[in-house]
Amino acid sequence: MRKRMKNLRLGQKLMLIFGAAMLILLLVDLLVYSNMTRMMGNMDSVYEGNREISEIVDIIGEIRTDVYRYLNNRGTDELEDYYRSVSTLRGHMRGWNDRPSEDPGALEMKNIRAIADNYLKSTDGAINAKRGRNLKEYRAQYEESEKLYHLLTVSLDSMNMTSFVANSEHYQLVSDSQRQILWLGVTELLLVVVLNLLILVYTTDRFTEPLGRLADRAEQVGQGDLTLAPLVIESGDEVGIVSDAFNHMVDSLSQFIERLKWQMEEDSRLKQEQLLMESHLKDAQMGALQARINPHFLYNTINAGSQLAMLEDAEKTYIFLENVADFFRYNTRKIGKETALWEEISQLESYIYIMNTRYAGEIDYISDYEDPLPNVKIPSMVLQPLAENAIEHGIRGLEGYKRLTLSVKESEETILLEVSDNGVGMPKEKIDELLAVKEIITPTAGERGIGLVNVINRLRLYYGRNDCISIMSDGEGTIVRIQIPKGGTEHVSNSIGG
Amino acid sequence: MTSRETQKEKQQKKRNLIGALIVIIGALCVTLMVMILSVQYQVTRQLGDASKAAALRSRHYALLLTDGEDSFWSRVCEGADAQAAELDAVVERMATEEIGDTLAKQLYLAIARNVDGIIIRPDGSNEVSELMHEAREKGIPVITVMNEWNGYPYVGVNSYDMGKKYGEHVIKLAENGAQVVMLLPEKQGAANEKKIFFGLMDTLKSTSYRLRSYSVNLEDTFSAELDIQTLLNEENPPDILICPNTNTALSAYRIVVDSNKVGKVKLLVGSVDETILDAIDKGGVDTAITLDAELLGKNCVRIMDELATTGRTGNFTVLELQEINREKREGEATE
Repeated sequence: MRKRMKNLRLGQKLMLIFGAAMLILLLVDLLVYSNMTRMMGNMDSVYEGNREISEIVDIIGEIRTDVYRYLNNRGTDELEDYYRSVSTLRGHMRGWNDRPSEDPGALEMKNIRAIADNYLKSTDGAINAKRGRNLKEYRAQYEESEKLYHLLTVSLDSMNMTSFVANSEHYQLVSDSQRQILWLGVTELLLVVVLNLLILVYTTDRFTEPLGRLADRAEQVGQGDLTLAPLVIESGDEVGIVSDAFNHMVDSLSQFIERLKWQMEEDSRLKQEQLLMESHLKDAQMGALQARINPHFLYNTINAGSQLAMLEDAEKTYIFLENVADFFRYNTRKIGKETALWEEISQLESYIYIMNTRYAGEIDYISDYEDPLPNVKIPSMVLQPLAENAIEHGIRGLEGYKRLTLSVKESEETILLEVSDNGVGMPKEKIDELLAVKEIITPTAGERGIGLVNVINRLRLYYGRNDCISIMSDGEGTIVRIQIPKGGTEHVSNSIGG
Repeated sequence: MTSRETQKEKQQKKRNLIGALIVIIGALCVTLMVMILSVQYQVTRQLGDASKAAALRSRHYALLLTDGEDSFWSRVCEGADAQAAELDAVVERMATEEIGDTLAKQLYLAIARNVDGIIIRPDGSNEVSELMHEAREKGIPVITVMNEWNGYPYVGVNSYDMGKKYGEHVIKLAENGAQVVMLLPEKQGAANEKKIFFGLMDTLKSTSYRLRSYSVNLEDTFSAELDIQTLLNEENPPDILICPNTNTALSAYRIVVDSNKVGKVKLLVGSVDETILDAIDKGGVDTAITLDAELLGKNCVRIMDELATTGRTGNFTVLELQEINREKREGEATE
């Protein structure tokens, strides 16, 4: 019942409450009205008995007159009147008690009925005697009837008086009770009106309370507080439906804001990464610029030198200068862009040739790859800094045999590039330090070219993963391994190729 | 505490107050409703009681008395009512209570009412005698009580024996030569009292007690008291006063007390009520020679019913006399 009530619509609930209030009022009104009506009925019937007795007295009087007239006139009209009156009297008396009773009133009725019977017997006797012309008899019967008449009227008067006294008491009782019921009824009605008003106030307050809670919560949500517990849905009416929808809305809003927040954080992170990458790139560019010092001028100059060497048939000089020119050309064109793997390897090999020329061919360069090379793009200026780092810090100070190896291995999913040397190696702490550094490190005076850290961070940013580059060293030599995904890079932008 | 919480608290307080008011006013409404229904029920019940048909009986007997206010006869009526209830009959007490009302009129009325039987204490008048005869002719059985009359069935005491009892007590109470006065009703008939007087006279005839009767007007209490006072103020007031009637006994006791003659005038009475019993305890009344009034009433109805239903009954039913005096009363109290 309670559940059914809760699930009713607001309008239905209000109608129900108002209806119930009206019904209570109506019932109380009906109760008071019916009581008053019953009391009025009681009052009306109180003196009914007295009225009947008076009527009987009148009828007996008529009988007496009829008898007297008949005895004097012997007319048929008088006889008819007499029988009519007798019939009326018997009709009245038929409802009267004719048996002994312990109740004085009922016994009195029985007595009066018996006297009336005897009276009618004597009047009948007088009339019959008169009709039979029995003078003596009719006289005796008439005298008897007169005596019984007086007895009857006295008895009826006595009964009327007794009844009147009793009825007056009843009338007083009914009258007092009616007055009492009237006051009680009016008070009851007033109280019921007040009660109904209070019930209406209470119930409407109860009905609108969730609405108030909803308004409060909406205000709080409007102020940006989405952390509050959801509204408790107590009913299935419109307020319950709206509250439920509000809960869903707040929930959705909260989720949306969370998502937006995450998105913004992600964007911020990406932006930061992009800024970091750009910063690294700028560092690389800076390093390149520092290394190049007007590469176009150097390239044109070296190109002129190589043509001069060719004219003078100095083949080794010519080859050397060609490699130097290629090295600078690559730096000039590819810096900050993606490049093909073969171009990056070509750049590396030009650099090693130059370095071997500088160090009288001490460096044994071993290239371990097959033609054709995989057609993949990688950030530029990656392999050359690794080779430079291996020469400068690994094998330069090494006495005896100096080896630098580049290997390219292809598997189903990745291409593995390895730059290894047989140099002094790298302590584990140094390796961990290099792999852990994420900030931009400005190259120090002792560091030349684009630093290893720069390469590591650019590769990580480009491929979007930390394990794309690894460094291994066991005290003899160092291996720097780069894993390039075959299916393309996971980088975000093509403009950050290095 | 925030303003919202304060507001909520206020709202809750307001709601609690309204709830409490609803409960209180609801309870008041229910109480008033119950009161209205109670008033209605009371009225209906009282009116219903008034109009409710009383238990019907099979026979209707009339008990006709001349001195209806007498407490002795009141107890007789109580006994008669009790017996009638057992026999499925009702006894209607018809007494000559109004001035000018006569036993004959009451008897005529009883006949006109077609009663099933008449118990009457005849006053000895011819009119009553004729009406008794008329009733018998109309098939209404008649029995007499305390006054024997013309061979009608009788229930009561042997008045002559009662007189002799009084005589025996006079001899016990007073020495020879004492003046003994018996009060007689100043009305026609009073045959019963006369028989008592004859019994008394026969008992005292061989003694030197001075016995005489004194008529008292019993129409009202003042007249009776006036007559008795006149008697006590005579030159030779009685030493023993015999009052067979309850009303004369009560009047005599009051006058003896008022005249400060308790002990000087010894009272012998013929019936008892609470006042007489109290007087016996205080020594104002010496002895009551009476019969059990309720038993008399019961016997009247029993004999009447027997006569009405079978047409036969014993003609003379005499009840035993009882003596009540101070010693007996004290003995009963200690038992």
